[in-house]
Amino acid sequence: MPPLIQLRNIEKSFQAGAQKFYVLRRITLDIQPGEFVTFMGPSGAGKSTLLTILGMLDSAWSGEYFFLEQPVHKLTTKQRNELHKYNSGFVFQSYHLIDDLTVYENLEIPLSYKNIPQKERASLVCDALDRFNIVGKKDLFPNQLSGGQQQLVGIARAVIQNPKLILADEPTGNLHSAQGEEVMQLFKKLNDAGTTIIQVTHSEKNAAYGNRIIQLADGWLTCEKSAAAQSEPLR
Amino acid sequence: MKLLRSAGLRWCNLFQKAQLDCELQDELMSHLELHIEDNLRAGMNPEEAPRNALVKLGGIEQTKESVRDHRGAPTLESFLRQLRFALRLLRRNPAFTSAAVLTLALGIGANTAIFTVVYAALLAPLPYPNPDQVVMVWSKINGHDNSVSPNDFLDWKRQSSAFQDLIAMSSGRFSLSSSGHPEVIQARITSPGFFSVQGIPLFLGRDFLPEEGTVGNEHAQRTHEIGLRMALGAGQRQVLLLVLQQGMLLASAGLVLGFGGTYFVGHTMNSILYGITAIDPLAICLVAVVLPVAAFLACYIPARRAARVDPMVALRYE
Amino acid sequence: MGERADVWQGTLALMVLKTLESMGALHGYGIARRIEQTSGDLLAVNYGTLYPALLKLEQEGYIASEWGTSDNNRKAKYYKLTRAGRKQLEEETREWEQTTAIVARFLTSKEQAS
Repeated sequence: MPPLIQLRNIEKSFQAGAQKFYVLRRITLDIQPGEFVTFMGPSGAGKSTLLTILGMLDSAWSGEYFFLEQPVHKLTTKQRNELHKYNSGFVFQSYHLIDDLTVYENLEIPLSYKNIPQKERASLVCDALDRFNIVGKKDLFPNQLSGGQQQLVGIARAVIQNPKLILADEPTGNLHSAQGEEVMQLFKKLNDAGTTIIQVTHSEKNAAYGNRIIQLADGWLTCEKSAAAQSEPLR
Repeated sequence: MKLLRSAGLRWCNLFQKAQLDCELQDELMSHLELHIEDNLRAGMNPEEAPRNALVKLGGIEQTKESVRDHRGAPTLESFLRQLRFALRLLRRNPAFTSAAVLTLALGIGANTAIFTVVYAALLAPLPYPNPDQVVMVWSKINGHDNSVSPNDFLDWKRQSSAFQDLIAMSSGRFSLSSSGHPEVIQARITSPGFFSVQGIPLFLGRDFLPEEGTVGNEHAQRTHEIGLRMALGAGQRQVLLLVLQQGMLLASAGLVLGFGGTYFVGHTMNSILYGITAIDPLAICLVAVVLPVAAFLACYIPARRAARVDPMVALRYE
Repeated sequence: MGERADVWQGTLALMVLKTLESMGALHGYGIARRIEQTSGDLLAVNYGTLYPALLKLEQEGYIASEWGTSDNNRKAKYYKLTRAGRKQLEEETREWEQTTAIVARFLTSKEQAS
């Protein structure tokens, strides 16, 4: 079975005056469908940047990125949008909910951009509200929710259509440990059912839910650990 | 070259003093022995021989002294000796010494501090490229410099060809409330391009977008939302529709209220003045056509700009 | 008559170099003795003044020193002429001869004039 994601020499840099600063350097890796990968590393190592590139939200990079065997680096913006819209869900670190919409409407947004009929949308949203135990909050606005609740809505929004790939940037940052565990359990369940999950986290506990840990430092991939905790340094 | 070499050797000798002294002693001893032997061979008696040799040499210590003088860097050695002497003198007069040292310290310290400030504030070059090309532009009122009115700024920005770019600046105090306690901060309000015009690179975050600096364009404030929607799957077409929808909604509301008002005023006028109908069909039709078109155009252009927002720019985070 | 005059410092260096050239490697005492002999005992060499001069010549690189044993098995520091020293000797000899020639001409012309 071909890899879900293939990265070859992905680099991201920006010019500041006469100096070039690298955010990511020669990232090369493969992610198979059904894997549960964790990116770890110190702040500024480039993990979140790599995640946004994988989520096709960032187009300023060089190198080759194959998603479902499609060459993302050669696609137009429209094609990229279509590709990530229908295949991946992104959980943002700062939730990024739309302040003028209720929880219900926030959950509905990604569905409305996928040409899903109204009735189906309604059922999917209700399902998600149920799953995350936030039915009572469906008519509230984000600024009426606590940080943790907003984060749950963000996660619900990303998983609402069971995408092939879920990208999560610090998904449990603002949740207390019980909620955090619930979320990780949900991810595990989704992963068992076949969803590929890539998360960025600082928590060793969260990383343990996955089956592969990739370390980044200063924009380089430094080492990889499988669930068997055997460390193999890269390069 | 010759000077350098001998100077270099002198400096080295300074540090090998002890060893060289030993060697010199040996050499002079051997010199005397050779001379004494010769004297004895020449027939001098054993008491006379050494004395004669010593006298001919001119004294061991004197010889050593003259070689030593020549060996080291004489200026440095005498300098060190004099320094030690000076220190001894100073230690004998603690009151004078401390007064002098304190005065000097204060003077030097104060001067350094002042110069540091002066340098940083007045002399040091500004930390961005081509600082000599950055100028402040004032307006003149009664011959005095004064701040510039916003519309003047916009006119100058549009019409002037003398400047690469013009940035408007103002400042104010704001209360910043992030997670935790609010605090009062001084902030600078600028038009977009403040950093790029000065060539200051941004490592994180972004500068204001041009649309955020346009007067009366509320859609620019929705950049974050638009970027987010695009990240969630909105295509350019959907963003366009969204913005147009909102714009047209406002226009329609205005239209309805306007018509209502027209009718009311017309009716009132009708009862007061003669020959004026409450509702003039032509005027109403004209307005009903022209206004929505105008509203559409006014919304379309910002809508197009909104649709071109790069989600990552709008959502920039670490 | 027969009084020993003091040796000029500068010329001492020249004499040391010449001595080493003709005698080969020699120790300090030997050099002093030789100079005294060559000058026909007219010049007195305060042997002590030789050593600073030797040091200066060594610092300038015209002579090199080495510890060795003398004929009667005494340890002594021997000096020998270096290549640079040889060149310097030639130059200084030429200069000295020039100077004396000029002065001599000056004196004879003065006699003629008066």
